[in-house]
Amino acid sequence: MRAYILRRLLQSIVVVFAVTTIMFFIFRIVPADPTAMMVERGMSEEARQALLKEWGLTGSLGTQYVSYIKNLMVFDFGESFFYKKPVWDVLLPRIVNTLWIAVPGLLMGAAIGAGLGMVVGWSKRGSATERSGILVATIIRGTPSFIIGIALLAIFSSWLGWLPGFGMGDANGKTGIARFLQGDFLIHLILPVLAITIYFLPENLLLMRSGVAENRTEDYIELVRAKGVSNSRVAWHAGRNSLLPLITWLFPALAETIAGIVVIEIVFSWPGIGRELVMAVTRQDFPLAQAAFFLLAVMIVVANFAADLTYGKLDPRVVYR
Amino acid sequence: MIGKGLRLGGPFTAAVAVVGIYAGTSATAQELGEKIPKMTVEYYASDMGPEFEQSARALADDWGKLGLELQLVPVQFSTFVTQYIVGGQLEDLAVFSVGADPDRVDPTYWVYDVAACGLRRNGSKWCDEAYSQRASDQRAIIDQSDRIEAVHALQEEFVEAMPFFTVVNRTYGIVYNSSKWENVTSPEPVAAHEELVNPWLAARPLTDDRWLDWAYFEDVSTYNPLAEESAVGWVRFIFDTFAKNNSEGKTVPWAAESWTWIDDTTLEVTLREGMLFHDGEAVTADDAVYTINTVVDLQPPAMSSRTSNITGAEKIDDLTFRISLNSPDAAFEITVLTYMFILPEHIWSNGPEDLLAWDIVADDAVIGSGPFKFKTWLPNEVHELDANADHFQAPEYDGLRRLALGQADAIRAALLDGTGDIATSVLPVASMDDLARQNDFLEFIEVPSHGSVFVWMNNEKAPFNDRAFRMAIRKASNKQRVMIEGWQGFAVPASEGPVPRVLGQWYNSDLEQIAFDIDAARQELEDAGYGWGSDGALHFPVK
Amino acid sequence: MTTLVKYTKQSPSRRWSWLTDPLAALIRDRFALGGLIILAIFFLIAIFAPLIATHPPFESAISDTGRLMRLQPPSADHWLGTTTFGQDVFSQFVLGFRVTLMVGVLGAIAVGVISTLFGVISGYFGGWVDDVLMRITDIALSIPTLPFAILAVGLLGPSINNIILVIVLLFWRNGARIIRSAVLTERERVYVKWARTAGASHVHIIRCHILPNVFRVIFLWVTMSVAFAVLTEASLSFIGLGDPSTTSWGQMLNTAFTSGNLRSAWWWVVPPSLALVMLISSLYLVGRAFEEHANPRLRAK
Repeated sequence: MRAYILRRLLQSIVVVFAVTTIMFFIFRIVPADPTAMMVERGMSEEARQALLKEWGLTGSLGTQYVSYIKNLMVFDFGESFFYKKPVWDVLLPRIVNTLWIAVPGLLMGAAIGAGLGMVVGWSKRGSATERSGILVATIIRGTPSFIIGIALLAIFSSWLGWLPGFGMGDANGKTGIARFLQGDFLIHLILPVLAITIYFLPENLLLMRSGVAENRTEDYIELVRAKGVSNSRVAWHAGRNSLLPLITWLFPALAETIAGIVVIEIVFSWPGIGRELVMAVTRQDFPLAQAAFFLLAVMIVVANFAADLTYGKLDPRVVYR
Repeated sequence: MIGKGLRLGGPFTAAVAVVGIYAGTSATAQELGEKIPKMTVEYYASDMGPEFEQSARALADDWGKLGLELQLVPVQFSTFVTQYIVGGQLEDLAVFSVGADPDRVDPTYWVYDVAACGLRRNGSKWCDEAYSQRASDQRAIIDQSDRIEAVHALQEEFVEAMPFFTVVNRTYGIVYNSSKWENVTSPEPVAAHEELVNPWLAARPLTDDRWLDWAYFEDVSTYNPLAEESAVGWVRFIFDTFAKNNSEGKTVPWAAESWTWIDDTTLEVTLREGMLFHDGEAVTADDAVYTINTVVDLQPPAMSSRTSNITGAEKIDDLTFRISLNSPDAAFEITVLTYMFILPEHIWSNGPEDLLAWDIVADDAVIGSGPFKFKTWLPNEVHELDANADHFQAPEYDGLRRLALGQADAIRAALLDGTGDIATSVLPVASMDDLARQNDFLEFIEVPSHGSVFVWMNNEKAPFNDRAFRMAIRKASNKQRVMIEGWQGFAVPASEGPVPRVLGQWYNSDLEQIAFDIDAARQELEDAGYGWGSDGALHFPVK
Repeated sequence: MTTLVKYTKQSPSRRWSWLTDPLAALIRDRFALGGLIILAIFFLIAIFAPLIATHPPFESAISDTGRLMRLQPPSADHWLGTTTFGQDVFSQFVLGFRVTLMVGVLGAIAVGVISTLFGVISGYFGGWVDDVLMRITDIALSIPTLPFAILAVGLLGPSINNIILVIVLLFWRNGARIIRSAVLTERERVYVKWARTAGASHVHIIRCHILPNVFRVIFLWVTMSVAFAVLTEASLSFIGLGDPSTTSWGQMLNTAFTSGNLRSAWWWVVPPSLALVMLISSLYLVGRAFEEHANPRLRAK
């Protein structure tokens, strides 16, 4: 078991290393010249060279790569070209903002999705509940996240005028956690969270549903039923066992969904990490874009790792090699 | 390399092929030179608004009638600047705009920066040594009428050579909540820039909500004025400049009460009496001298273009000091006095070693003497500035809040639900107009400006190295069409020459205007020896 | 024993069973049938789009008085109204079928080919080949999908070619995994082992035994890839990284969004949104029927 974890850990490190290398070269496809905007305003050539040096953009590709990896080892992504601050100073608040909408959205999506999935899975094959459940879930699953966002904006923000549809509300000069514990912020939270919930819900529903539908044909379920246990308790049994694939799926899905929240953040003008990434790309702020991308990639690697471990914990049949 | 990974055929690929369908004047086959190869038209991608794509498309449609095959290539704004505006990598043609910055009311940018040999901003790569020398010299002509004459002569030369041209001058817009604010005045001919008095310091609140909420995007990277080069004007709300440009294009006193030239390279400046920094300390000549000498000393990269001609400053008395220059500069007042700011010496002399990298927000040192005091900044969310009631031109409201919404949809929603009071950018001007028409409480101001949409041609490459060809492109450019189809009417067809008409005296009104005329353009080409194949495609003259 | 029979003598009616069985299942499944019908209609519209479109997609409508006919609601002249640039929404929408389906189909076919190649080689040969290929997919799987697409298209330049390239780079990896595990199962079957001892070549075994039996999985993956490709193109275009010389649905929405008309010009926003939902959902419905068909425990009794 320990050997397995160790090997898996090493593997993850190799993967992260490879991803960062790929990233380095992607960014070198296009000649990076963060000074261009300043030259447009008439910066002198010496000043420009000095800046390029400061940003580690001089020297051969090889030396640039070596210094890049060296800095990576200590999680130093350098300074943002645009904000002229260490990238982590810029990114950390963004990550917090993203988590504010991602975590509740994902949890609600998973909980509601699993609940509904159990109902649909346990309903009679071919019944109206099952069929409409599957159809509606598939249609929602087929709706791009930005269309969910646009629809929510159109209905609740523009048409009914009930909820605000952009930004995080008035900070009232508060910072830190106090900034988030205000009514105005919570109101602004509703629509983006709702969008993520709806976006994330159908996959949970469908996964849970097929798990339950598979499980209900298993012998032990028949056995439980034969013992005269009530229908709802039997459903619970089947559901509990179906949670296993759901949970292992949940981790990578979580990571991938956080990465995919980009578009929802853009629709709702939410100052999260995804929107920052898009802006960094258009501004050619490479250190920032690299760090944001790195962070998202690491999140996925960690999630996969966690999924593997939980799977072993939950299902004793899995043997670690 | 990866970019060429897949090749697709058919009409769905990125190419917009427009081969002319003009029949008629085609020459006989043996007179034809080589076929003119396919050309690219690069333009600002939709991150700068959807108008550029429409403009490029409308222009390319008409150019195609000369028998050219053209491909539209959108380029993200920052890449565009890197590669074409300053990178000298223009391929064939480019359609883009240069902003209506306040200091561009001086003609130097238009006749020199974008047109003289070898300059980094001369992306069309035209080079005429004699022209360049004269364009450089005009800035040192101190006598106004002599300088005007020189600038007029340059324009004539420029139009004769036709290295590139302006299609339209942009009309900017302001939309504001007129049930809450009044006296929101137009900054014409400059976009609603913070370096101006209008509309920012003129606006008056009509209700108890005395905070002006500006729905905008995030462009501030730091509040350190030595390092900030993007939101230059915003930072100058806090740090007063010596002068300001007004909407007539005149440079008027601001923190400086007056100034006089001692000789061609020495300017004596007298500061306004009774100014205070936000921490209560008095503003003196010492602060100004300290700031100027610090800038000369450090040569901040973000400032070097404007300040590199300054050699230093010395104090005369408590409110008077002298600035010395390397060489005479007729544009010094309009471009530098309106740009240089005053730092409090008592704070900055105790700053860290690397003043350029000083995060003055973190150290609570955002202290200037300007009409606004720094309150908070949540990056990419909101900026808040308190009004400075002690200022000589204090705003008549309590504070200015800039919301970093960053997209048209959010700005529109903010204006409608009252979160935003004023918008000046991002939301297309036509949409601002729509909003004001649909909602009684919103008012729209049209701001004609000197912001220009250019068509650049690669003067180093055939056929653009041929004046006749460039002239043909010019004649085949329909300014009216670009104005309507591209800018939805919110632009003005540009006059001939590089200097925008709204620059008044600097613009040479004697220039002959060239009309849009495809037949004349084709005649121009034919006279120069170009010909058309049987398929209508344009061919080079025989060598 | 049935497998043995299958190997030794293939009756003609069973030879195409790998193709006909899943198709029959699709037609039996009413949701999948609905999906197929919608897909067929979409393909027809895509093929005849230039004939259906009433205006050139980028032509600005100018009134008799020389004014731009902006943001007109649906009328006899413009069936779905006009955009803020006076362009005909209906024509852009109809031509959007072409762009969208072309990206989807080309992307999915390329993804299908590459995943099958990787999956079959990896699963069939095993050993170090498998190890190397699987480590490569490990790495590829750790790349966050949409952020990578944004970076790559942002850096390479927004064109249909680059968008398809990015789609292929992104989705081959999951497919390779899925197809590999299907191949692994097939490889262990008795008749494959028999064929090998009988001296059949690798190419023969892969072609005659492995591919027909994993076809269902490949087809499923290609179907899902069309959906992913359409989704990716739409998301990129919506962000503003679409190909400007085409009129894809994502791009129509982007123009509505960047010009501030998203919430008011319903005639401009609803058609592309609805079409995207219908297309992707139909693909998922077809995919779902395949999945259920592949999993006998889910099959209705």
